[in-house]
Amino acid sequence: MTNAIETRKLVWAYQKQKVLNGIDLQVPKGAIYGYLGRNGAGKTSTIKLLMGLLPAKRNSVYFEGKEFVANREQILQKVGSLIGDPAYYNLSAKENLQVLDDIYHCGKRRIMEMLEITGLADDKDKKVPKFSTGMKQRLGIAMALLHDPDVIILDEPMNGLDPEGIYEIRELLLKLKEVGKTIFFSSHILDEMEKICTHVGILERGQLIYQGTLTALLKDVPKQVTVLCESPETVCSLFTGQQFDAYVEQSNKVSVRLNQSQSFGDFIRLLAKADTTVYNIESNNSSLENIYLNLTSNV
Amino acid sequence: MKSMIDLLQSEHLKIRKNWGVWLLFIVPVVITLIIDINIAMSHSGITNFQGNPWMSKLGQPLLLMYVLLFPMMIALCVHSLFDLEYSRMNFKRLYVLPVSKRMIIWAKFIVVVEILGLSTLFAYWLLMLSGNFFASTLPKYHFGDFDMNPVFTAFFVRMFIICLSVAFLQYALSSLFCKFSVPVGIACVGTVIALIASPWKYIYIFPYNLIANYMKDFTSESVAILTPSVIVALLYLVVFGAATYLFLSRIKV
Repeated sequence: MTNAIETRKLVWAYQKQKVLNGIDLQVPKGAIYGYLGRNGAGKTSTIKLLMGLLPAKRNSVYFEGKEFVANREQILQKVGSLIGDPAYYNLSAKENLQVLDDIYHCGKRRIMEMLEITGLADDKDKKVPKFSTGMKQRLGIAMALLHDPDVIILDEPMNGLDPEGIYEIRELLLKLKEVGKTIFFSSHILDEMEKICTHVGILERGQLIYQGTLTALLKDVPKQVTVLCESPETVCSLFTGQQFDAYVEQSNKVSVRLNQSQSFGDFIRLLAKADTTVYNIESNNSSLENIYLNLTSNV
Repeated sequence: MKSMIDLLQSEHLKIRKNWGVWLLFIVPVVITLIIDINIAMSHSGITNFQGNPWMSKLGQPLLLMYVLLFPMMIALCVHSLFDLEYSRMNFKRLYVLPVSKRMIIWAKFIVVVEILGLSTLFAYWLLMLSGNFFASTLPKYHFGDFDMNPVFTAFFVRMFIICLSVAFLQYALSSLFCKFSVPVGIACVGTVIALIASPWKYIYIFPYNLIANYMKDFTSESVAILTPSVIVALLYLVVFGAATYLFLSRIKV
């Protein structure tokens, strides 16, 4: 199946410094693809290259199998994007959408529909400077979605939003997925990514260090268990003797990593054999945050 | 062609509430009103006015204000047009429209020509309206005895072309420096330099020479359009237009 977005050896350098070093993105149709990476990792540069705001090399960006540079205008008809929160501050929310409508010819009904969906219908005649950060972000999303694009690219859409705003955006993205849209978005809010993404890509130092489904990512990465006990050396040697990755963390603490073939049950059975008093066992869930930190610390 | 019309419609909607654009229409009204009021208030001592009232009473003070203020107003207007896209990162939205970048920039150029054309035409219309108004209300000035249309038409055509080259110079400066103070400051200093250096023989090669053009061509009631300053302005129009195109197409977004 053709990917909605694909990059092949995508590179970008800024002032002779490599920002992106051969990125091969594969965003399946209908996916919510979360693009993760620390500040300066190259997330926004990737998005700008995808949208043609930075000059990508020929044959490095594809949308639904079509090369971007050669088919720029045709592709952009089907792509909506939000990079920052651009809007005309001398105009109202409705007028901002009308500016785009002059190009896309979506009609007044569609403008009203977008204002309803993004919860701006009551403030449609208010000028943008009077908007809160969340309202500006929602207006940006309304502008990105106005022409009913198949692919939606959002750069940190949850930035600066309060919990309610984040919830609204999350629900909106899920609704869009339900109607078959492909969503590619970057974010720092890992909890939110975990809640909505079907796929993730992790960018570190200009390289894609992981790409795939979120389920596979959460499954593949080892769990870490911390044991608080009287004699950590005994526990540590017991586990290392049985091919577990264990080390003494503090004077009374042992950390044990469980790989895919080692279950939590195996761990408990082995721990029961240890001749020591156990005070506590803490299991770190394989949350995206832990996985992300684990993966990026290994690069 | 359809995309260009769409872009122009979109541009018109954006600038509808732009203060910089309105400045080019409001200031001529204010200046004309002040000069008209002055003429109307000072007629009591005159029984039979000698000389050409179009020149001495109306044209000279009004056009002097225009040539002094237009370059600065153009700098403000053009920067406000540029800032509309720049300050709120709207270039990011503009350059992802399914229209070629070339067409987007051309639409912006057309809008500048249109604003300046309409503003110059409006200023000309205000002048003619004032003169014709006084011809009927204050006959002792003898406004009706003179046909100054060819002189004023030539003046406003020259003013339009010179102002257009200034507008593109200002657009290039705004897109190069992005800040308000630099391009607007350059326009103000440029006008003052032109005023001081107006007796200089080659002042027409200076982009902000509008005031010098007024001193030389208008006061001599010239009806020539292709004066040296206009020919140089046309040349500058191409150069500054190309520079603006280059800066806008490569602007950091």
